[in-house]
Amino acid sequence: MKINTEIRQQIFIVTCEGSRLDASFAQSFFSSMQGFIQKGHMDIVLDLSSVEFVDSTGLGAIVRCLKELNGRGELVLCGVNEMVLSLLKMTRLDDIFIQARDRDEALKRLKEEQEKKAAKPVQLEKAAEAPKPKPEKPKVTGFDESLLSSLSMEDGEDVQEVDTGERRRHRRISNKQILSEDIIVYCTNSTTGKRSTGIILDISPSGLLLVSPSRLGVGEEFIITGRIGRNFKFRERAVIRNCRDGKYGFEFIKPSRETTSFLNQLTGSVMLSAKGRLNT
Amino acid sequence: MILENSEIDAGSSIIFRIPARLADVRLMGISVNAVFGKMGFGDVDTFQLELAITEAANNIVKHAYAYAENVFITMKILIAADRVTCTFIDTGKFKNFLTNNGQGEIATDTTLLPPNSRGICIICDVMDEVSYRRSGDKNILTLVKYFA
Repeated sequence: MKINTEIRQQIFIVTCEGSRLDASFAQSFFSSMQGFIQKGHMDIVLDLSSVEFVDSTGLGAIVRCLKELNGRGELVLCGVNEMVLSLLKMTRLDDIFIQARDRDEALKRLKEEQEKKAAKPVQLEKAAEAPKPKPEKPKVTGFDESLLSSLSMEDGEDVQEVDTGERRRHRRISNKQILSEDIIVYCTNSTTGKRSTGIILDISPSGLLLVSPSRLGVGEEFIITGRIGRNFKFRERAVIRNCRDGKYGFEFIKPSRETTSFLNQLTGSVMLSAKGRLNT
Repeated sequence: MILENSEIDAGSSIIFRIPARLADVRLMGISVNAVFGKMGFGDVDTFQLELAITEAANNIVKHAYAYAENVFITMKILIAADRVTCTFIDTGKFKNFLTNNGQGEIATDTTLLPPNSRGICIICDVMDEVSYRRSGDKNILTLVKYFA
């Protein structure tokens, strides 16, 4: 398996030249992709038209690329054949990726996404500072603690304005501290019924931070369903409190006793009262 | 009841013995793809069966043998009138992923399995029966797919 790259219409295209993206090639594939991302190629078309076989490790490598992008760009898969698509569906990851029939459609999809982003005033300011090429992003080595802190769902909230007497302070725990696999959740909009998929980045008894390819709005209410490990399933109402770069901070609305208890045990959280007493 | 356009007779079997390395699992995957294709499975079914075999073998390399060298995986494909049975034998660490499924060591209903990794999930999704047991110093994983 070889990886070829090219830039077309200012979009980075990665082509897998070979028929198998399997366990014996997955690490090498991910390392290459990680290198491209670290060099600042945030919008990527992954052309899989010659790939006939992908196993779970290969698929895991593609998911890791999406996580490496961390909402800073888009990964569009194109040329996915019927067999590989059956794997995506079997593992319920077909909703996670933007898929296009061919390169032209992929480029069109990415252009649309870029235009949507460029329409945002904040990003226009950034674009004015450095129009092109894209600025090189700092090296990201994964979801380490410092990165997780920078992505925390409390980002953007003015902590000073919160009544500390009522505010619950829970310890968050990253997905990697829980499982080696991604924790995938399904978010159903309570109003529209539209279903989206997301991957949990961190979770606490009061809420969770997830990354989703769908556009969700701050203040919208969702039913979040998912499973952590073998035995714990949850279905909770939650509202989006903040969002940034495809990452959404959800706050649970009246979580069930089972969920709260499980997440308290998982994170080792305690609830602090106004006087600093511990309520476990 | 063997598949209509099968080029392989019921009662046929083949045994693979490969070094427990990911590169050799790939070779086995390519080989079983040809076998399942000749048995009359469609493209997607053939892909999924190859996938299940590959996932099972990858699990042995990664978890049972933990990438040890000079160790082998034996896999037998037995084609019967109504099913194909793939039996894996390794001498690595026994790690029973079928525990806590309420069905003992043989899972006849793979939808009841609570898999915690994608590979196992795929195996259980594709196959109709999955069993895993220890016999002496050997681990025996059996995957069954019915034709009907």
